Amino acid sequence: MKHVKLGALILVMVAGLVGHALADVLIIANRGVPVASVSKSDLERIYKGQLSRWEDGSRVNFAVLRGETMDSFLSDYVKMSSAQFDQHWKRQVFTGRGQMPPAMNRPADMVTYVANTQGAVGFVPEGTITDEVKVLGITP
Amino acid sequence: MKSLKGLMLGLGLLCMGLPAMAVEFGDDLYGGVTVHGFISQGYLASDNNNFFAKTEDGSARFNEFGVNISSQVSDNLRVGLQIFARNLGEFGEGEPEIDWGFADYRWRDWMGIRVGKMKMVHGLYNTTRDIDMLRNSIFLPQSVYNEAWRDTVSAISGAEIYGDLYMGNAGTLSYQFQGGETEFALDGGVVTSLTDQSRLAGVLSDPQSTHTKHSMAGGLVWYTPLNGLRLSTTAWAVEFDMETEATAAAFLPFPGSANVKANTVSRAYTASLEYLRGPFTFAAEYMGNRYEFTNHAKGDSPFANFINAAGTKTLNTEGYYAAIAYRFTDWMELGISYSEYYADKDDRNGKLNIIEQHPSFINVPGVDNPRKDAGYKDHDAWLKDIAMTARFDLTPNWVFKLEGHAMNGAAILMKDINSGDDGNLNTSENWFLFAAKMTVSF
Repeated sequence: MKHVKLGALILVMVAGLVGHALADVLIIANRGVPVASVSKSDLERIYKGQLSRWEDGSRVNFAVLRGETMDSFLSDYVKMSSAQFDQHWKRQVFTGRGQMPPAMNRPADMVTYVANTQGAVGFVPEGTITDEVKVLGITP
Repeated sequence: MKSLKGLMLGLGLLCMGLPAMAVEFGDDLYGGVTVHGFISQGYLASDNNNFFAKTEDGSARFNEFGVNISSQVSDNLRVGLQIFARNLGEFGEGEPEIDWGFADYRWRDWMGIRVGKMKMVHGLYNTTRDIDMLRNSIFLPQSVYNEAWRDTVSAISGAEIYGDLYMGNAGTLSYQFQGGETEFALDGGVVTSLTDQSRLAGVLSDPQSTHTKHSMAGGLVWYTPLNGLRLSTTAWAVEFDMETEATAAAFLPFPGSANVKANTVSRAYTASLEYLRGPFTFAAEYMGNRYEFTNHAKGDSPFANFINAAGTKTLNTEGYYAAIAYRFTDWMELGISYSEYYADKDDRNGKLNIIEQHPSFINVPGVDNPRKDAGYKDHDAWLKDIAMTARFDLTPNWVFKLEGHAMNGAAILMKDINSGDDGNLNTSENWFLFAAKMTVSF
C-alpha cells in the first residue's frame, strides 16, 4: 500500500481540502490504523478484497453502512452499485475466497465497529460523531 | 407440475423466514464460524430433444443445494468447506459431496496459497457456475460451460497459488495457478460423451474404471483502468486413463472384444471480456479445446489390432458467445445471449457424416457409414443458441428466473436420452428449451 509520507500539517491540509470535497461521506478508521490518509484507489481495492494489509503488515478490516451512504460511497470510491458490490462478495463467499463484510444499519454502529475493531476502516455520512475514531484524509 | 408448484411455494415461504445475512457463531473477527447456503429448484421443458434431462416430458430434476462454513483463523489463515448436491437429469443424483474445502494462507496481497479442493479456474464464471443467484441467466452458455463437463472441471484437488498485482494506473492483475487432480466419474458427462464417440468409431465401450493422471489450470484477470472492464484468459490441461471392455460393433469386419486402456488428454483455453457500465453487463468469451485420444487394446486379435492401429487421434472443439443484460430496477433484469459451439472445429457443417470424408473408415473395407447408420445428422455437429432471460430479485435473498432458448443443432446433447427405440440417435435440428428457476440463499 502506498502511503503519502508528508508532514502532519500537509496531511491535515490534504484531508481537509480533498477528503471533504469528494462526497458527503467521511472515511473513518480505528485509531490504531497506521495511516492518516488513504488513496481512492486503495479504498477501491480494500472494498474489492484486493488490498488486505496496511503498510505495517497488519490486517485491514472493513465494513459497510447500508442505505444511501453506501450507494454514494460505492459509486464514488469503489465504482460499483450496491447490487454489484453484493454480487461481488457473494461470489467470494460461495467459492470460499472471502467473507461478506460486516454490514451496519446505523452510522453510530459503524463508528462503534471501527472503534472496537483492530485495523478497521469504514464510512459514515458527514455530521456523524466520530470522537472514538479517526477521520482519514483522501488522496487522489 | 403440482409437486413443483408446491416445492416453489415452500421455498418462497422458507425464504420469507430466512435472515438477510449469514448465520454466524462466535467472534466476528477471528475464530468465529460463518455459515451461508442456497437452495435452487428449476423446471425444464423442450419441444424436441432432451437437454440433459428428459425435458420433452418436462423435468423438475434440476436443482442444487449448497451450504458452506468458513472461518478466519488468523490474519493470514482462512479455512472453509462447502457441501453441495445437485440434480440435472442423469447427472448429480442429488448426492452431497464436498464442493470445495481448503485452507487459504494469504501471505501477501500479491501471493497466497490454497491447499485442498478448490473451484477450478476456467473462463470468467466457472467458479460460480453452480450458484444460480450470481448471474443473470439460468444456464451459462454451453459453448464455453458445457454441462457435460461440469463434474470434471468444477473443482481441482491439490494446491493453488494466487495473488493480486497492483499496477498503479494500469489497473490490477489477478492470477491463479492450480495443480492436482480432477474427477472423471464413470457415470459422469465426460466418460458418457467419450463412450458415445467410440460407438461411432465402431467400438462399443463399457467403462470399468477411471484414473486421473494430472490436472492443471491457470488464469489471469486484468482489471483494466477503464472502470468495469476486465479481460481474462484461462487454460486447463487434464489427462486421465479409462479402463474399458470394448466390443466390435456389428458393422466392423473385425468381430471380438478386448480390454482397452483409453488415454484422454484435454487442453483448453479461453479468452474473455466483461464490461459493467451502469445498468448494463456485457460479456463475451471464446473457448478452444484440443483432445488427444490414445487407445491401447490388450491382445493380438484383429479387433485389438484395429484399435491399436488408430494411434493417437486429435479433435478440436470450439465455442464462443456474447451476452448482454440490462437491469431495469432493483428487482428486474433482462438478458439476451447468442452462443455457438462446434463439436469438431474442422467439421463445422457435420460433413464427416459422409463416409468418403471420414478418415477413420475410408480404408476399412466393408464399412459403410457408421455415423449415418447410428442416426447422426449434420446438425449434430453444432449447437447455436439464442437465449433470453428475465430475472426477478423478489428479495435480496430470493431470485426467480424465466428463460427461453431458441436452439439450432444438437451437439453436446447426451445420446442415451436422445435415441430412438432402435438405439440410434434421433435429434431434431430446431428446437426450443424453456427453463424456470428459483433460488433462495442466506
